[in-house]
Amino acid sequence: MTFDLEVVARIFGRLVDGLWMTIFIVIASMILGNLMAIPVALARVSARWWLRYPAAAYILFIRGTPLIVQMFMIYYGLGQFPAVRQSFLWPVLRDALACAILALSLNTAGYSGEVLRGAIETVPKGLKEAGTALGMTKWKVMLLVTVPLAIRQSLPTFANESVLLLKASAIVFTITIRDIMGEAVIIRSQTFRTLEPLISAALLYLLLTFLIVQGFSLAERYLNVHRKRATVTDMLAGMR
Amino acid sequence: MLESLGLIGFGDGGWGFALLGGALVTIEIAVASYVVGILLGLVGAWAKISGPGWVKAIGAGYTSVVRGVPEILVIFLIYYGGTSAIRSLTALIVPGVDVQIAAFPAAVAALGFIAGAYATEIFRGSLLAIDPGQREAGRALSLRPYQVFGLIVLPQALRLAVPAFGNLWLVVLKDSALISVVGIRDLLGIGQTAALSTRQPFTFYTTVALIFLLISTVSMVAFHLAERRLARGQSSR
Repeated sequence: MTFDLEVVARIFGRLVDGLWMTIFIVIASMILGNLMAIPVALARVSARWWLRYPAAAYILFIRGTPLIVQMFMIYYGLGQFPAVRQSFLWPVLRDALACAILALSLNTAGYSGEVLRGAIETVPKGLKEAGTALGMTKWKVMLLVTVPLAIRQSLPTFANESVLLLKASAIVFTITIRDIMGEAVIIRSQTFRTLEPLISAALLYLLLTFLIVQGFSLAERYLNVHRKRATVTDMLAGMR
Repeated sequence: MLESLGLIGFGDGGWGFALLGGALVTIEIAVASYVVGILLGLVGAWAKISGPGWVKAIGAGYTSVVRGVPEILVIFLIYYGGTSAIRSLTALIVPGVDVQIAAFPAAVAALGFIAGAYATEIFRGSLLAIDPGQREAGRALSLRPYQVFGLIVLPQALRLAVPAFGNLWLVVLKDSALISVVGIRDLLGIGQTAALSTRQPFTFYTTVALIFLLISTVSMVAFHLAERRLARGQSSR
């Protein structure tokens, strides 16, 4: 068992092909999933039971079952029904890439929805009342006051969720997609070398994790500019 | 629909018993990995808090690598890379001997290794959260260092860590489904075979999902009760 750098040099190009696939899948599911998380969270905190209970059940199912099973239900499972095979959605549901993004997005919607719900509940009541006092409708208060504040509040958690999404995306190779992990597995079966493709793939994933963490901390700094000013003022006040 | 119910039932041609067996394998693997993970976590937390410099570095590398690399990739590395490393090592020491490593311990090693990184962070956080005054009080009573740790710090830290460990159990349980990818006949592995041979994939994958959901819901309730029991005598904050 040796680690051969020449092998790494030979397979590196193929792993980079997989890298683009991974980046594409993660960004697409991040956008789709987090957009879907907003209605999930709003339904979860709704006063109407017929919105609240289904949302709670959805979140429970997504968080209580393995993602790989959810993905298999969509990719291998849905074709069981003739109605699905004859519907206009079949070209989408037959496509592995579309199913992978769908599964990861639905999953993200469940996890982020729960995070967002927690954040929505911590938005101070006074801010919402201020919105109402300015003559905003309930919907406007929700979309212009509560949700933006809740999103900013949950940014550190979203950084974590995005890393989890990146890591979760590695299972899409089980439905034939050639992401970083997919390429590494194919190389392993073709060359009978285990360490070179897997460790190189691990390094690429670490690089992506690093980029996500850095990106979010930049976004956090940008969105919290007003707070930074406040701390500087506080410091000056303390010095006086 | 009724036909599907027969397929997942326990009657003739039903996959009920097979699925139940798979669920048992899943629970066994998950519990064993969880225990391995907790033990690794204790060692890891010690390494990160009070180990010498190079041990600290190993601990930090361990947790950040596991938290930045996909679980399935770690499983492949340990399952395939680890077993072939052990085999070539034994072949080096005792030439001509071909060791076969059983699938179960290899799977537990892989999942336990992953859980260990998360457990390390949980232990580290909860051990550091204990007021240093507690330790000092123990020393003032002339308890030995291991007594201070075992009788004063650890019990309090464990109580703080219970919610996080409940969460970790759910993560380990769900990660255990990944082990079917390397060919282990766990719940998902059995479900795959059933889906292929009956051509009813949705029926079986949904059943597998619902069994997972049942196990996680029951464990959530159990952890909630444990949390309540451990919090008795503490003022509600």
